[in-house]
Amino acid sequence: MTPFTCNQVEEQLDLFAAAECDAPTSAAIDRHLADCPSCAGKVEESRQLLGLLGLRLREPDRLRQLQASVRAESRRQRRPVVLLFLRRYGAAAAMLLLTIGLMGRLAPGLSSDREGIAGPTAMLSPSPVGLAPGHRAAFEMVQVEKGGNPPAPKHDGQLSRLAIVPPLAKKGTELREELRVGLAAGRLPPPTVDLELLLVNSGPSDLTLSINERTEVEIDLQGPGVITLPATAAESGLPIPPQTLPLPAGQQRGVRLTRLESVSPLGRWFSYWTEPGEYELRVRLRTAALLGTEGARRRPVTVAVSSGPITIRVPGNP
Amino acid sequence: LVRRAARGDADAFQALAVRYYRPVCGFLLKRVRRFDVVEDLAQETFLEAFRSLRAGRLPEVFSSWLFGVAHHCCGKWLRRKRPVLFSPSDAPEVEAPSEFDALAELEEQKQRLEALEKSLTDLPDETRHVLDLKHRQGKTCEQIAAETGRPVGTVKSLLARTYKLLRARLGRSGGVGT
Repeated sequence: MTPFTCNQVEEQLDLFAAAECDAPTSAAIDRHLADCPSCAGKVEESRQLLGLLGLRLREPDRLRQLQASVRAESRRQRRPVVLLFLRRYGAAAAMLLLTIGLMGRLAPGLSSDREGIAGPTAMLSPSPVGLAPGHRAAFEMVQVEKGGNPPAPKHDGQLSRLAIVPPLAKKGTELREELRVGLAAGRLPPPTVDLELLLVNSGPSDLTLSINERTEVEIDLQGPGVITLPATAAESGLPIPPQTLPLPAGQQRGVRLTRLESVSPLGRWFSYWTEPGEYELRVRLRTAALLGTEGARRRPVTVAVSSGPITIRVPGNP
Repeated sequence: LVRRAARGDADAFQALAVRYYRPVCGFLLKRVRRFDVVEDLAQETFLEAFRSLRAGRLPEVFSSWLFGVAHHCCGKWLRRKRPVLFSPSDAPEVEAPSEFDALAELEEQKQRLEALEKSLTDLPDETRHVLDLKHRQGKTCEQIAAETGRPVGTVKSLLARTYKLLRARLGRSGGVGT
């Protein structure tokens, strides 16, 4: 076939772009385009037009396809109703590291004297490290008053208390027994924390959570020196303030967790870490809720959620 | 609509999809320059947006957020497709649109597609039917000729005239180029 002129290409370029030219014509146009940027530009323009035409004409079909996919996705996503996260670990836990002979020296209570390692002293940890990015860790030294509980934690989101009496000597059952006796005698403060549980309702319906005396909380603390003790009646209580918590669809709400205390129909337990090291904390919550919009017909449900873990690194004694 | 979609209302989300489908396609086309992948990426973009809304994300400005999702899908596609030509570390980066740019693009795409829409409306029914067979149903000129009972040459001539006309009209309204 003789080489095409620009006029000949112009006549055929739209059909060429639509792949509707016969093979000899296509080959001739290809050869022309290789040396003619002007015609190549027009072919490209034609391809754009054809592409747009296709997009426009197939649009109803593709929107129907999308609708089917979204509906399928919507059905798939109905199950997970509430997600739970632990956050604001910047306000960290108050945990005890106890010394050998502590219980004997503790009586009649924790001293405010911090002179001498063997003394019955308590103070704050300088820092549990490993905080989530963006969280500032600021800790203050707090002395535990003789015969009493530690001062109430400051809830400005940055302060925390970590009571330590260095160094540790007793381990295992022996330490556990000492702690149990100390706790029963009111010489050991409860494991106070200042954490926030973030509840996210990713379901399609509104929820209203009832956090009350029937709510169950499980503290899952894993690490090298975790000791769990039956909570003392005087100190125990729901570690999350009782409340009615509206949780509309797509919304999130935070609730405070003030103690590492597990609460279930079987009993109540405090969890302590007792050694420096790395610990992992998860919280599980099970509580009654009403599903549906307020004012409309709602049905009672039980919400059971588990947080992801946060890591707590307990440093050695300062 | 966005709030309803976030609660899982598929119809509300579909209304959003109908409103933003064309601008999103235009946005994607400008970046990937492949008509054959734009529709798949648009599906991916809207599904991703729906999942994100369901997960509790409530954007302040839906349109620019949606373009951000489209941008993300583009990036994934470019990284997925380019390793044949480039090493993964050299995968081309596509700049995320600012809110202003996103709105400007929205307007630009709207104008182009409105011009095309008007041109299509002005065409005779018979011509629109042939275009539908060709571009929606993906038939060749031979198949169209067989279906409409016309000679193949007549179908080709009709298409060539129509393309030329549309190209001229869109050229006057700001061009068809992406």
